Amino acid sequence: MVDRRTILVSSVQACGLAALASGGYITANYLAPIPEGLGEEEVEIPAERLKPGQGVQVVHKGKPTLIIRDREGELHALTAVCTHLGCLVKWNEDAERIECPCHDATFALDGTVLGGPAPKPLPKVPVGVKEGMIQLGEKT
Amino acid sequence: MSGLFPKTASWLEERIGLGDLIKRTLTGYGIPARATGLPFCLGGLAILFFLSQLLTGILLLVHYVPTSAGAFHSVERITLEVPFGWFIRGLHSFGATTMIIAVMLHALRVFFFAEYKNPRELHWVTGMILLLLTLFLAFSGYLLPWTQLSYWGSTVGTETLRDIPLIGEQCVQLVRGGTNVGEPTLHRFFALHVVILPLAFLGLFGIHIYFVRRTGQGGPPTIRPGEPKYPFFPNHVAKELLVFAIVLFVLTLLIIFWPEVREEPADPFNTPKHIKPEWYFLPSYQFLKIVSPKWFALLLQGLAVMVLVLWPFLDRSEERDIRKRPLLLAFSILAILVVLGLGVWGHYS
Ligand code: HEM
Ligand code: FES
Repeated sequence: MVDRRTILVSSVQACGLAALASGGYITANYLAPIPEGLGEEEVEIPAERLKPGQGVQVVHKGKPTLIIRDREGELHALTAVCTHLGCLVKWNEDAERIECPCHDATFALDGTVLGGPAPKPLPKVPVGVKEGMIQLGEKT
Repeated sequence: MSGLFPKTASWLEERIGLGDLIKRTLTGYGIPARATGLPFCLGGLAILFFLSQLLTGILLLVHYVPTSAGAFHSVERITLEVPFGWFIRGLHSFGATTMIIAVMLHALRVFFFAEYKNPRELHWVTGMILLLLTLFLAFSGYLLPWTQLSYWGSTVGTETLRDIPLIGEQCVQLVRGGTNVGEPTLHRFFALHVVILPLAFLGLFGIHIYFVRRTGQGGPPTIRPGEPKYPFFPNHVAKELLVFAIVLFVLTLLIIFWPEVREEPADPFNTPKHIKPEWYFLPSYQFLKIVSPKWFALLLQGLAVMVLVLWPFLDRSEERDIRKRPLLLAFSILAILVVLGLGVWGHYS
């Protein structure tokens, strides 16, 4: 037998839960991350600015990306996020390799791991030159 | 235990004893049966809206940027881009107005029912300071969106301090953190609005409620000792929550259907036309405009505030029923009409 008191208390609790649920829904949506508008910016680097042996860091589709010109003049582009724990890797001109400042992972120009704790190679990004400007993302 | 989750409820009850605590401190606390109508829900309504301001304010803080370069854009982003941001922000600004109305009506009830008399003088004093804190909260929050209106409203508002004799200039500069409203002012007002004033409010509210619980509630003037009591919890609290829910519902409709006015970012080199304060400062604004010299107008206003805060010590009569004090009744209604009149005048002038 359900008495009146149980019905009353239960319905108050149900109202409370409903209020909590809608407040929670609004709050969760309000706090959800909003995509940043980083993807739009195009890399605008004149090809001749990057001399053989040099590297530069740019943002490509929201991701830090490393562009390197090797001694032979060939361009390479890689995602600059270390596959170990996400630090940003740097091009070491003298040693001619990519190094992570955090736990000393080292990578070759094609992204393969040379040493250190990184479990996977750095992903490659297609790179080319169009009208004298370095282009990322599509094969040119 | 009854309810939706009886097992969980009794498990929790054994461990934290919340039901027992409620029984001893809340259910056992009775208020006069004749002090349960709408006028007696206003204090509760005020604190519920304060809590709602606390919640929506903390949510706004997640996206708000307290710098002169970032504030306007971040508030615009809250309104236009963040999911439900328009709602949270709307609730915070409509909630501010509602809270002020609730606190003012609460004070009027206490006044007309003469509940401030012995032994409740300090209830009144703390309550009046709470009202002032609420107004300061609203004033400091008004600058934060860094719009033309909020920038120049705060400029005009802080400028009034200049007419304080001798130390006027210092007062203005202290409040602004410089000669003009600018980056330092925003930082000061931000600190006041989100930390200093809310903490002061909560602390003083605790004292206010401590006083109320110590003496019990007064109720209407005609009350006699031994009249029946009514449980504060859950009965009266349920009533207050119901009133809160209804007001919240109305505010939600207002937020949805009241078209959002496009605002312009603050421009310190260009004063817009018709700078007016929010409605709750209009009477004071108009008064300062029509009375001269200015220091005299400020003095009168300061005195009026002092009279309000210290009123229980000025009104020495033992008679609680204001219907038996026609002079006081007439004078207080006249005073309210003058304040309202000044406000309307200020609005249209
Ligand atoms: C207690 C915690 C509170 C916090 C953390 C808080 C936080 C904030 C923040 C971050 C803003 C800027 C965003 C915006 O303008 O929409 C703001 C604005 C504002 N606040 Fe608060 N607030 C609190 C309480 C209050 C109270 C109690 C009142 C008044 C009774 C109040 C009145 C206002 C007003 C009038 C604005 C300007 C609203 C607008 O122009 O949209 N706030 N508050
Ligand atoms: S994050 Fe790069 S080596 Fe650890």
